Formats: sequence, C-alpha cells, structure tokens
Amino acid sequence: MARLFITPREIDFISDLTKEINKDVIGQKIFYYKIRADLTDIHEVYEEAMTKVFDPPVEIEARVDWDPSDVRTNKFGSETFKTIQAYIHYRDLLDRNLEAKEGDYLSYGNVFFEITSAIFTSLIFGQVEYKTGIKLACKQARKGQIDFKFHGPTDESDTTSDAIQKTFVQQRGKSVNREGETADKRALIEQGKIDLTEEKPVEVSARGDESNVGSSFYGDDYDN
Amino acid sequence: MSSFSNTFRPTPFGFFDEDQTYIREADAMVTFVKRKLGDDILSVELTKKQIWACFEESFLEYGRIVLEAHGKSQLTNLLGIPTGSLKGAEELHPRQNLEFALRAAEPYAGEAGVGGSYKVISGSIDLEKGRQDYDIYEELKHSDGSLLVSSSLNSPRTKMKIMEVMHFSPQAAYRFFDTTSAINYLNNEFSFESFTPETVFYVLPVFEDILRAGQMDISNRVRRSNTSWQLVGGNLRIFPIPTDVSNGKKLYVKVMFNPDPLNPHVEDGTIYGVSNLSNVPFGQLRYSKINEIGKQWCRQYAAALSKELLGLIRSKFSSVPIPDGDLTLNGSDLVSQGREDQNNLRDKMVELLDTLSYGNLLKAEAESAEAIKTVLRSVPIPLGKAIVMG
Repeated sequence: MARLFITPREIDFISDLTKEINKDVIGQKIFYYKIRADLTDIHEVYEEAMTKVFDPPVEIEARVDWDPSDVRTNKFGSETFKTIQAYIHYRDLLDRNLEAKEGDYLSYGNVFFEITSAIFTSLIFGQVEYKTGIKLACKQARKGQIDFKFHGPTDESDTTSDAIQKTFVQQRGKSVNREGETADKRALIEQGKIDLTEEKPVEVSARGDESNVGSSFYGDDYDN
Repeated sequence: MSSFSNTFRPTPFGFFDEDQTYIREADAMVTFVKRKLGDDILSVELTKKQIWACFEESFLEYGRIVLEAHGKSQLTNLLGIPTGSLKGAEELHPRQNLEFALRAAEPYAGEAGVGGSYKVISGSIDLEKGRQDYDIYEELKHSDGSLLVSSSLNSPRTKMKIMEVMHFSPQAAYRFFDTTSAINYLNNEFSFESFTPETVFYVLPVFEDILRAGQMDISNRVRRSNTSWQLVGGNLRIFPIPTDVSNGKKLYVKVMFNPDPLNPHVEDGTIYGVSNLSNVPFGQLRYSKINEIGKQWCRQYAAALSKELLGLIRSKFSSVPIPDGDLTLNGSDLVSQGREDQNNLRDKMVELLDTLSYGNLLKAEAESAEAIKTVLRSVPIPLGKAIVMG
C-alpha cells in the first residue's frame, strides 16, 4: 500500500495491535534458548558441539502452530517425532535485542525444539523495512542436545507446580506487571501518542474466582 | 499523567477551556469514555485530546440543538431586535409581543389608508374643458408645479399607484328629503347632510331608507352623468367630460409609490435587526450554566462521538497483517454504532425540545386546564354550594 497512507505512525499502530493480540489476548509463549557460540566448545573437524552453552531462556509471546506427533518406524524401531511452527512478532524480538537464528532452541510445553529455519513471514503493506514477524520452523530436539528443566505450562498430566498456567496477566505496555518484568514496549505509548492506561493490567487467575481455587477473569484493583 | 488544565490547547476551539465545571468534567470524561469502550481490558487508541475534542463537540452540538429549538420557538418575538455581537440572548427569556403579526398586517393597513410605513402623497391635474383623459405621469403635479412621479420619495422611479381620486359622485342622501332643496346641495358640499334644521325625520322601518337610497343611487348612475374615473395604463379617464373649468378647476389625486421594503418612508431601525435564525444574538451556552439533563446528554454524546472516532481509526485498515495471518479490526462496527448512538441522542433531544416549544407548552397548559375541569366535574359538591366550571 502506498507510503502516502502507511507512514511510520501507522506501522507503530499495527505493531501495537499485534503486540496486544499476542500479549494481552492470546498469551501463548515459548522459551527461547540462544546458543552462546563464543562459549561453546566446537569440534574443529566436524564443527559441531556435543555440549552446547546457552543463554538463560527468554520468555517470548508467540503464536504456535502445533502439529500432531509424527510416528516414524525404521529398523531401529519406532519413534514419536514432533514439529511446530512458532510465529514471533518481529519488533518484540528487536525490543529484546534478540536475534532468532537456525540452530537455536526453544521449549514449548514439555518438548525442546531445534530451530531449523527462521524466515520473515511477510512485509507490512509491502514496505521492505517493516516485517510482520518471524516464522520459526522447529523440530523436536534430540535427547542430550539440550537438557533443562521445562518452564510451564507443560502438560496437565505433569505434577510440577507450573504444569498448568493458572494465571494470565496482561501487559498493556507496562514494563512490570504482577508477575514481574514484561519487556513489553508499545510504540504509540512510548512516543506519547496515547497514554499508558491508568488501570492495572487485568488477569485471569484464582483471584477472579470466589472460591479462590479456580480461575476466572479478575479486573478489580482494590486489593492489588 | 497530563490533565486538562495542564495541557496546552486541550480542545480544538478552546471555547470552554476556562469554565471550571467543564474542566472538572473533562478529566473524568477520559475515564468515562475509555471505560465505556473497554480500555480496561483492551487498548482504546484514543488520545486525551481526541476525547476532549469529542467532549467539546458534544457541548457545541447540544448548544446548537437547544438554541435552534429556542430560536424556532421565539423567532417571531426576536425579529428586528439588534443583532449586536451575535450573543447575549441565548440564556434570556424574551417577553412575548405582537410585532411580527402587526408588521404582517401593516401593508393591509396602508392599503386601507389607516397606517403603514409608506406615505401617500397628493397632487392635482389641471382639467381642460371637453378633455376626458389625463396622463398622470405627465400632468399630475405638486402645488409647486413639479411632477408627482419625480418626487424624492419615488427613487428609483417606479410606477404610481392611485390611492384616491377626489372626484366623487354626489351622495344619494342629499336627495333624501328634498331633491330640489338648495340647502341640500350645500350640505353635500360640506358633508353635514342629515344634521341640518331642514332635516325632517320620519319613523319608518330602516329598510325603507335603504331601499330609497339604493333607488336614488341607481337613478344617479342611469339617468344622470354619474361621476367616476378609470385608469388605463398611465391615463386617467374621468366621467363626465368636464364642461366648466372656469377658475382653473383641478382634479386632486392621491398616489403611492412602489414600497421599498428596505427603505420605508418612516425610519425603521428594526430592518437592520434580527432577520432570521442566522443572526439571532445567540452565543455559546456556558457549561457551568446548564443543568444535569444537559450535562448527561453531553457525556453520552461525547462517548458516541469517541466511539465513532475510534471506529474511524480502526477502519483505516479493515485488517492488519500479523505473523502468519491477518487481524480483522472492528472499525466499521464502531463507526456505525457511534453514529447510531449520536442519531438517537440527537433525535430524542430534538423531539423533547419540540414538545417544549412555547406554542406546545401553551397547548399542554390548555389540555391540562381541560383535564382539570373534567376531573372537577365528577367531584361531589354539597347541595347548594356548586360552583359550575366551564
């Protein structure tokens, strides 16, 4: 679309809408494990590392296209194999100063995945400098390549305390919400075009449930 | 967070930026509008200045509707008053008057010769023996000899309208009692017939007098050379043909010129006063001077305007690209809802004000009075103490 109509301000608007959908509505997230090539011992001949060194995981909101497991059978027997595609908002990565690359790892649920390709999904209204997001095609990582404790939510059959996400708190462009730092930045708010909401981010949690056991919408801030 | 009072030029026009009541409400309006549009949960992409602009527009719209209705109701009383600086009358309750009706009746009064704003002037034509036709544009003159049509009252020059020709038929009454009585001719000349000592009264039915007068009048017209005139173009034809014009006999005529509605012969400052709704001296209402009915209307209208504005922002794109998909925005829904809300509020306000026009209030009062009478009729009244209503 013509640059006459789509200016950086419109791009900011679109970016903020997308972030809102990802962070304040959908709430899917992955944990990104960036490989530290400089700290990893790489084999001189094969240029591979048996043991990899990672940065601490980064929690990133993403839209995840989850494929059912593929069962493969060969002469060694059968194995269950998973793949996912994760779509990450491009500006969200820029805000975190994180570059998504092939070879990095991520966890989604109780599975670690290796990123096999990281490609931009599309341009925003054809303007080459603005990308909507990055599509990460991921395959299940082989055991031993990455071995960390999973961050929830994982699966309701798990017994770990964070296996089920019982609390979802919006971010609304605030740097901190009830769960801690958010790394959320909204361009229009940062530029002073619109005001940061004066309300506290609402949440879906046990606080919204009368019995304080279940989970429901909670928007009152009198006892925050 | 910025507030209304510490924001530079918070509203587009700044009409009410000094009104303390307005200032207090303006900050609350931001919270009201944002909450109404769901900002507690999902972002409402409106700035405070946009909401304040909507608030300002809502009060301007309220003022327009109220003053329009007031003007409609009161225009007849306000026509002609000084326009001044086009403000000052918006919060006043004008006294009723009949100026509009009287002004409308004025031309009829003028035609009847009992009022009006235009002068009737008279002149004369020198009659000539045996000549029946006289050109009023060439021969009708003032006493100083100048043509009547060239009068300064007739600028620019227009056609003259004959109001009266002093060329009367003898009144039938002078023949009532004695057709040959010399005294009756004198009486007719000096218009005091029926009051002379020679008058004799008979006790007769009145129709007898009427019938006899009619008979004499027809006799004058048929048997005698009845006095009359007619105007054909610019020529005045008189009947009968003049025979005796000794001593310079003149025919006197009263005329009027084409009335210039903006320049009557009587000085009238109201011509430069209020002429229609556009220059009635209605300025802006003051927010601090309107009651809660009006304030609540403004709040709701500001919310509706904000809803439409948010819709316009969101409908700049029907959908926006997001990673692996498109996000459809609800802009068009918001626009149509916002406009519908505005229309409803406006329609209800116009409808309400229409029922409250001064004319309709009078009708309501009349209906109320009738209803009271109806109710009182059914109230038992002690014997002998009845006060009958209506």
